[in-house]
Amino acid sequence: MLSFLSLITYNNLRDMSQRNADVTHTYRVRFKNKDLIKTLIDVETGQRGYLLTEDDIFLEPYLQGKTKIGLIQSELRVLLNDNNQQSKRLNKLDELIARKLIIMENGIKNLKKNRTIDTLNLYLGKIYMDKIRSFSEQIDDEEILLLKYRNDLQQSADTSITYYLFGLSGVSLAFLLVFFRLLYLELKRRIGFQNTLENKLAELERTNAELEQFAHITSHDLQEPLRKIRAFSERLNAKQGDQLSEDAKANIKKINQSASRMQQLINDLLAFSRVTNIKDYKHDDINLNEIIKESLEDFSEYISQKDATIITDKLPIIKGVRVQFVQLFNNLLSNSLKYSRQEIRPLIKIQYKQVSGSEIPNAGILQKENLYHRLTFIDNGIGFEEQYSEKIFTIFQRLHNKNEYEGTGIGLALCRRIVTNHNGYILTEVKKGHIGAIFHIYLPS
Amino acid sequence: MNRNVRVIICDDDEDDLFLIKSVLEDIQFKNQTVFLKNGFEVMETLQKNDRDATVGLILLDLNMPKMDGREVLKAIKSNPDYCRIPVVILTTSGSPQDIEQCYALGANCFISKPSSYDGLNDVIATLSKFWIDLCHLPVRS
Repeated sequence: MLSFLSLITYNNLRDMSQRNADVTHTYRVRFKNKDLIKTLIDVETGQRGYLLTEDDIFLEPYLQGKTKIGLIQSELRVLLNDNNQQSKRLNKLDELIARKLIIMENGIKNLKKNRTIDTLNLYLGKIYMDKIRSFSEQIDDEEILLLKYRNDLQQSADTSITYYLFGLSGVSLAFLLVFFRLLYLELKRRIGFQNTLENKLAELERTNAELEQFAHITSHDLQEPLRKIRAFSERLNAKQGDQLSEDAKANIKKINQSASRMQQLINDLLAFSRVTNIKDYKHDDINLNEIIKESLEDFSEYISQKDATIITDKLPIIKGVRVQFVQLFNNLLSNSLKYSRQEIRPLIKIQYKQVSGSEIPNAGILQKENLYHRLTFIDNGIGFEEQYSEKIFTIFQRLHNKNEYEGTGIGLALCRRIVTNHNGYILTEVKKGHIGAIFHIYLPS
Repeated sequence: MNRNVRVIICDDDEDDLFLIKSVLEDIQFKNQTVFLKNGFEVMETLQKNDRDATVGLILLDLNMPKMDGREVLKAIKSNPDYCRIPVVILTTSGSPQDIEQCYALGANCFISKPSSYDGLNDVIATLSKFWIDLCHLPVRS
């Protein structure tokens, strides 16, 4: 629509300049036409002066005028070339002028021969002059008509171009308004989304804080009665132990064991609630090689007891909370040592590679472009079946009876929490033919 | 040696008071003990016995209704008459913030209540030996 209107306006403007040129053309024709008659009169005046005085001084404008007439005629011919009717009129005019010039020439010749002025020749000249004027006027009238026509055309064009320009501005304005309206609506929609998102985020943060507080307070409050169960049952045993039957003593022992197990669970829950938020912690540059070294030192006794071999790649330096990484590595290493096979010497490999986010299964689209540090812990222990590869990260989730392997099942849940705190991912890999567990940790590079 | 000092034990939990009493019996604790259930009673007791100046150790729980352990601690340590009395915080809490705060308020010692009877026995026996039998404290003029 806009381009259509623009095209029309452009065409109109082009036509307008063409009409301007046409008008100029008309004026030039009229001017040349008048000039032709005026020059012819000059020539006639020169001839008459000569006839009266026989002085050569009058022959000069006569001769000059004749040359000038020829020039004007050829100019007029060029100008009227595009108009058939006018060209015909010009032909007739040229013919009359030629006759007129011959008549004047004859008048001069006659004077030179007979020493008298030929009055008949003068009358003939007048008749032709009148005809010439009449034709010249016809040409001029035609040009005036053309001029009027062109002026009218120009006037109507002026009006229509005004309308077109108004139309063009109006449509542009309408477009602009529609565009701004759409832009405004889109902006409003986005601001709405942003508000919803911000509210959700605030809500999430509040819920998280509440949950953390809940975990902390409950575990704290649960400890109180538990402590008393243990204290009183121990007191019972200490004070009245010798009066109790063996069965009663066994029951008290069970109460104590259950209470200490619960104590351990609560302690783990407390520990878990403590790693939930790392916003308050200082994020340092952590050399993971140092952390591994510390972990290996911590477990040196366990490692030599199990006769385990640990092979480590050179690890990167990352940003994070140091204590949490110590805990992460300790948990993974102790798991590998704990869940080793009896008949096989434990071999633990810690590998490092820098990878793109697109390699992480389940990672968001936005992470695909980012670079990640990938740490891989591989052992040759008892491993786990593929169906449990996500379940093992759940808090207090255990795959074995606590008589077989001690522990509360918090270790990997803590690991996931720590890695998630650092905007990373921890996943397992079940490889065909591989015996043992494989854990991949992806941390933003 | 401050063998004849009185000991104030303040805890809002009756079970805990019972257990502490039981432990004191077990270790045959000789000093006079005053069992109180809130912070106001501690301040009252101190004011009543102001001239006697017999209180030589305070075991203080932190979380109590009305006037909690922190307030009591602050009141004791900011009063020139009582500030020399050793205050041992004996509480369920083990949070780093509580520990930090209590020492900042002038606690002489911070102990988390042990979860076993034997543990409590150890704590009371050790406190008694350290603060009453071994430690020299300034004498009030």
